Amino acid sequence: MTAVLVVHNGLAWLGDCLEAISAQARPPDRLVIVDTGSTDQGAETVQRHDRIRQVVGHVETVSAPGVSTFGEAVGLAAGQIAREPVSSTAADPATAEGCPQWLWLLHDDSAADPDALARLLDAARRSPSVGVAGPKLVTWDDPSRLLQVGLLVTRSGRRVGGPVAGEPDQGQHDRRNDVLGVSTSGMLVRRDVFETLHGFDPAFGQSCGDLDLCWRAQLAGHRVIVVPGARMREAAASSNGQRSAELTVEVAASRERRRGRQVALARCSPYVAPWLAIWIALASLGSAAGWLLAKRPRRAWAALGDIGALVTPWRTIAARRRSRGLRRVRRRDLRGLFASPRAAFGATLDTIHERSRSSTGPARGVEDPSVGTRALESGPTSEDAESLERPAAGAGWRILSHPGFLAVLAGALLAAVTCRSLLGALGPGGLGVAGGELLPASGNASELWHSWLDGWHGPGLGNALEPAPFLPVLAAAAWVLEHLPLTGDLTSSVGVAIAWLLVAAIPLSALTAYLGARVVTTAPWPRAWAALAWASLATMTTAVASGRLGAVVAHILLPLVAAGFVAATRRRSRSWATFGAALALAVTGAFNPGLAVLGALAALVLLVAGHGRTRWHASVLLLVPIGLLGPWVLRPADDPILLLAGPGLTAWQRVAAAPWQLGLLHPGGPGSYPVLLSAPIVLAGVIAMSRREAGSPFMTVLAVLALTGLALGEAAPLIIIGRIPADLAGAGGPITGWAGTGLDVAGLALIAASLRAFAGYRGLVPEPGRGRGRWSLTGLGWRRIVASLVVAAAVVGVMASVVAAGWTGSRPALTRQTPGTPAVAADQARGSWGIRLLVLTRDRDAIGYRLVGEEPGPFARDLPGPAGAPDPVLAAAVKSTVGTADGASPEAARDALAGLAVGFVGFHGASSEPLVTQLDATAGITRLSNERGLILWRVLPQGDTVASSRLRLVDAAGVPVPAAVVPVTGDHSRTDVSIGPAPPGTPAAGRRLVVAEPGQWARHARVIFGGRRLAAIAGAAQPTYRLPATAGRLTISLPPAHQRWHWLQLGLLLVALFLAAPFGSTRQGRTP
Amino acid sequence: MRGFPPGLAPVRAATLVAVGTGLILGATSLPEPVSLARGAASAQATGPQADPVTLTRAVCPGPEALGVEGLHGSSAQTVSVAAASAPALALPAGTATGSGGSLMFDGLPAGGAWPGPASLRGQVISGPVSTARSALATGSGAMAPGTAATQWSWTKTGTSRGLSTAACLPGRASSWLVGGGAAPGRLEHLVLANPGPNPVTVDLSTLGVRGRIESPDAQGLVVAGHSRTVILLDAIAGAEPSPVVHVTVRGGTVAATLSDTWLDGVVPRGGDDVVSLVAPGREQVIPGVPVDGRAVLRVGVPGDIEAVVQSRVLTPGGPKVLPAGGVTRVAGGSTKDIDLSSLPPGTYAVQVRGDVPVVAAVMVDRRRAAGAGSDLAWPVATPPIRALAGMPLPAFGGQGVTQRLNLVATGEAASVLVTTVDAVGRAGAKKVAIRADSVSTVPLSGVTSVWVTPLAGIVRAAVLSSVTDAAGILLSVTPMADLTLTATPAPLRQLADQPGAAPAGP
Repeated sequence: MTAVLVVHNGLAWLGDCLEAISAQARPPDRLVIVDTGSTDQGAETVQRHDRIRQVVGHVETVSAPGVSTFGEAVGLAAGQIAREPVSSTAADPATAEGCPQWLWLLHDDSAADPDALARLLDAARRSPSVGVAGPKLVTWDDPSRLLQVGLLVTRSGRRVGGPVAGEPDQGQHDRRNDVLGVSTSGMLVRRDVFETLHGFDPAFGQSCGDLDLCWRAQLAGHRVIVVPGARMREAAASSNGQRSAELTVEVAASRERRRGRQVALARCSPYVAPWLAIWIALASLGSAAGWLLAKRPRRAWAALGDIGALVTPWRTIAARRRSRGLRRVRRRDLRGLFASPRAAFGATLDTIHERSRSSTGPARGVEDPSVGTRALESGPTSEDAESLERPAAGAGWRILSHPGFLAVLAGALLAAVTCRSLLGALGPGGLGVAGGELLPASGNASELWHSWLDGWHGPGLGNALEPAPFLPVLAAAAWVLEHLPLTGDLTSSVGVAIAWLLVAAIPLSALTAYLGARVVTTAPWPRAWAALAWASLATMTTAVASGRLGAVVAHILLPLVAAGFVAATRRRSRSWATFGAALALAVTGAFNPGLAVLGALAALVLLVAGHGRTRWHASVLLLVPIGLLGPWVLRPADDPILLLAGPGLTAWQRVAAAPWQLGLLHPGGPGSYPVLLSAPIVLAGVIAMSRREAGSPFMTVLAVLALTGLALGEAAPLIIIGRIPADLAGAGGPITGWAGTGLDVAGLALIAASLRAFAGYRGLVPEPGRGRGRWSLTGLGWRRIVASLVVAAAVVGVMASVVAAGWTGSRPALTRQTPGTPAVAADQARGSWGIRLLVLTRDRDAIGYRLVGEEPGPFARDLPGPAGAPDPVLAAAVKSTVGTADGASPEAARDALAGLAVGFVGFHGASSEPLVTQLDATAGITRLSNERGLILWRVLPQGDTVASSRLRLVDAAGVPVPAAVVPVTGDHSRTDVSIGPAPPGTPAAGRRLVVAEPGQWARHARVIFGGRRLAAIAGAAQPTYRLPATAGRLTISLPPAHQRWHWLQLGLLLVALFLAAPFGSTRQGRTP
Repeated sequence: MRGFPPGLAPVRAATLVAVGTGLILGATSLPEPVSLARGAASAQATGPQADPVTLTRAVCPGPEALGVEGLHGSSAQTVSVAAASAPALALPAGTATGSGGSLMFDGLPAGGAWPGPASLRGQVISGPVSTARSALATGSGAMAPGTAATQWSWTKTGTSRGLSTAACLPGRASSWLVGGGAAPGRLEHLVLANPGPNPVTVDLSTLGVRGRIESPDAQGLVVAGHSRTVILLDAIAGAEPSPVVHVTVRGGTVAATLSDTWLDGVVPRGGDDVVSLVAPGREQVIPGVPVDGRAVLRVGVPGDIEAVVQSRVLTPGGPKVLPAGGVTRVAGGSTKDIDLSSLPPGTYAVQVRGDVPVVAAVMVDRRRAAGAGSDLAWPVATPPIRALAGMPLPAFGGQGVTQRLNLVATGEAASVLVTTVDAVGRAGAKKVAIRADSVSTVPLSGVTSVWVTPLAGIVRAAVLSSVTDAAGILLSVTPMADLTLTATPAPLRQLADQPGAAPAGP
């Protein structure tokens, strides 16, 4: 029985260590102290320690300055033992011939309990199969806290399942016996086993040599056991960074992780090794992503470090070679010793959960330090606390009786009643809804996405204007809808997504209001009142009934935005809440630019007036939305009127609501209910602001906000921002902004004020300490009577509003959308040729025309764009079609139309119109149908080719060459197809590709054939390209105008989304 | 912010109420909204400008009896067609364009021998047609404004003896043909000529004395592009004594001509071609009605409501009331023949007024004695002449042919410029004044084409051709169509790509 103590600059612990050895109930027979180049006075300490020499019969010191690792030091000692065998003394008959000899390995920073060695030996000798035994390691400073009870690893070498360092020792791990490995600290190893295994493998050095040795011992058929009864204090100085300055905690941990992986790679079956390597790479990437999501970048980095185990494959290969021929048992017999992957995953989750839970503080109340008196507030009672008070109630009942749930449920019922006529439009086969502010349009996520992204986009011939920023949001919603199970084949996923949004808007806004109200009060019932009041505001019911897309989205998100602003002013503000609010503000601004301006102003005020952390939050609230809205923010600089408009945010006729009705938050229009029902909410808000108890600065801000909103609402109908275009009903009439946007802000402020002032309202029951427990009218005071009346009126008012909105709001302006273009035209538009429909209308003296193609049109009415100059090619084609062109050849109309990929001509009007006769008599187009007021003609093919297509091949003279049409694969002639070689006999001038798009298109398109970018022929009426006679691949793309901006936007979005995720943060809070 | 004294809370609320009320009152009292709208998005105010037409087409029906659907071995028939462009003298100012352009004939279906194209105004091109095809006269370029064509046939002897003329007209989507009868031996050939390139579908409906006559055979007749179809009216309205045929075209236009011929046993009773120049209206005026014997006014009511029809004749001396006041009731969807035979011989115009839209035409019959041969003529209602009317005169090339231009002014006194072109191409013009609600006659002699340019008043015109020989009198009336000289191209407006959704109701 030989103890081997390895010493390296461990002066701090060495004394205790030697003391512990000498105090052993069964001391070792021989002690070999290996000093690996210590620079402290360790050697003298050993020299001075007399007691150890008394207890241990044979103490010798070996100095090994050239040795660096523990394994090498032990190997040196083992060699020493072999050279100078000590004859067995009478002290212990167990060391006699025939009994195995043991090595007890010790660190200089450990101290064994007096009975540790005895218990180890006792356990080890019980079974001849035991080759290695190890003690239970506890922390140096507090022996009641665990450090390690055996090594538990997964097959891939990840250490899991052991006690967490510092875990209190309550005997919870004491049932462990057989383990894969034990630490070198206090490791008792049979000498013959040690020698058979050739000691520690040099490949794993300091960190995982123990694991490797034990693993090999297991493979060689020797058991490895942990003996919890044998306890040992361990300072773990190497991994705590206490032994040397360069070996920090992080470096040690990451090295240990890597070495563990390498051990697994070296000791697994050689056939499994490559797969294990792949798995380690994937798992470390995955867990790094997971840690990143949990906002623990260091852990993520550490997890990523596992890949480092794979970059030195020679290490594992050499280790594997050195241990050749030692295996005695099958690898699968060790199966039971490994931690299962599920346990490993569970351990990770536990770690995350542990972190977030430990940081969640106790239930908090209103955090605003400015709250002076809380006379009427019920005090800081959180829902968590309340739910704990009623442990008897079942989970189901707790959900059903939750005020927030009830408010959302009431909102859902209101939505179901008011939108019942639209429920049919929610099906996947429909086109969504139209009417009101929603225009008949259809499209899918990809089309909408490209209509935002591409440099040339938009309906008809297209344009290069900066697209509206809400398009990608809608496209994302449509994309989600397309990828939901059971939705099948959607005809117009965008239309259906909008229909869903409208129907779900009322309950969603109730939900956001309930969540957002938390910054004002934590009391659930007042919050439920606020949620229902917000969801049933006339601004919301009218916006839903008219399909005011921008207003609906803004109404849903405003409570979250406002809550984010309030939270940002607080001392314990959370970054994730601010980033969430910034994201919500960006989406709100994308749909409702006016509110973005309001939000930016508020953020500026915070930036100037705030201090410290508030300024940081304010700058996030200011800059993140601007960055996310991207280049679009520059457009209102040219045309500020755009800030007063938005999708569905314009009023195309004088609003019927009088100014006093606007004052009561009623913008008028479909979905309105009796105006006076909203009076209690307004009244409650105004009275709330007169209460001196309520937090004054907060109330003042709300008062300013309410007045700003009211002013915006009152001003909106008085400012004409555009004129109705000529061909629409009411042409030339004024277009104003929608009053509801401003009123929404005012409503938010008034509801918040009521909530703040009356949330803690206790009815007429006197508050303890105030009314001295007496219930008397005189003791109440007039203030409380007024408050009671106001609260009662506000509650009744909201209830009545909900009922009235459900009762009268059942006639929305919206209907199920029916196809606007004939099925045959719509079908061919989506086909390979991208065929267009030319729509003609008769408008008094003029003929109006418009091209309709695959590209989706606007989904909601907005301010009409500036009347651009008509496209000359299109104008000429229409002129020749309606027969006013001079000296035209009989089929000029057909050729001109086919050149623009027009496959169909439609006329909205009576069939008695001379124009109809004219078109009927036009060569090359033939009448197809006359349905629902649209007379449809088909443009006939010329010869045996396809009549019309976006891309066609012609010769130098403009005559179509064989295989004249080229299919398209996207909007605005985007394509990616192979084109065969020009047939022999093609004129030397070669073939040309003509694109049926306007001339400006060529400036934005990237046309690549056979790997070479083609340049458009200058001076051609339509984009024309010289195409080589060889075969090749034709790719036409429309790169975005601001590609770098878009990358920045994407990056900012990802960062903001990451930072807005409300979990994992070490400063987790529940404030929204 | 922190130092806000709680005592000021009521002041805050009061300020809120005061400012809010002020805002509401201010908004109430503001009279007019402020406009921040960008430049007016109103239509490009390009005033409609009339340009001379560059292409005119007139379809002559061709030999009406040839190529009847389902009827083979028809007897031979030859008609003559002639076309001319108005002389510059007759054209209103601004419509005479420079040189260039041509006037030419082609066949429907294509083929046949045609006179060479004309490139001079006033020059008449003419030729015979003896195959089953219509003739399409096309004036293009500078020759297009004021192009007119006429078809005629004069059979002097035999069972088909008669004189018939037809004005050649552009295709129409809807034609009302008032003519035909049910006497034994009376045949009505309906010629449907499609001048357009695309096939068209024709629906026929017939009004009769007992109301509408439905016939499945009359629906969905397809006429190929650049082609013609001839059907017999008897197939769809066999025994109707007083038919009015409505031709409706889907997918294009058709020039429809109804050829009414009558062979009473072996006695040729003559015939004439009926064309449609006007849509149903509450006033129909039929110029050039030569009454000398039997004359019948046929009125048809297209609508479902009974019409109260008042008719009168206009004479050189002014209007003349018909016997019994000329007022009669015609049931909706039916026709009625009103006898005008009691009128003293003379050339009249007939004016028909209804309280609902009606169609009208007059049949005149000339017969010396019972049992003798006779000839029919169908003067039809014509539209007022707005800019120019005219036609190349049928060149009968025989003796005893008289041709007269009959003018009628309604409502007020009128004056017209009558331009004639003689055989050597010399144009001459003279001004003719017509009293209000009167007719006036201009004899035409040695004239190849006649053109009427209105100067004042509402004028209609027709040409009466008659010939008297040993076997009796033959006559025909050719209505003069209002010619399209200019076209006002409708301004084109590229619409915003925002479909026209109606604003939401309040």
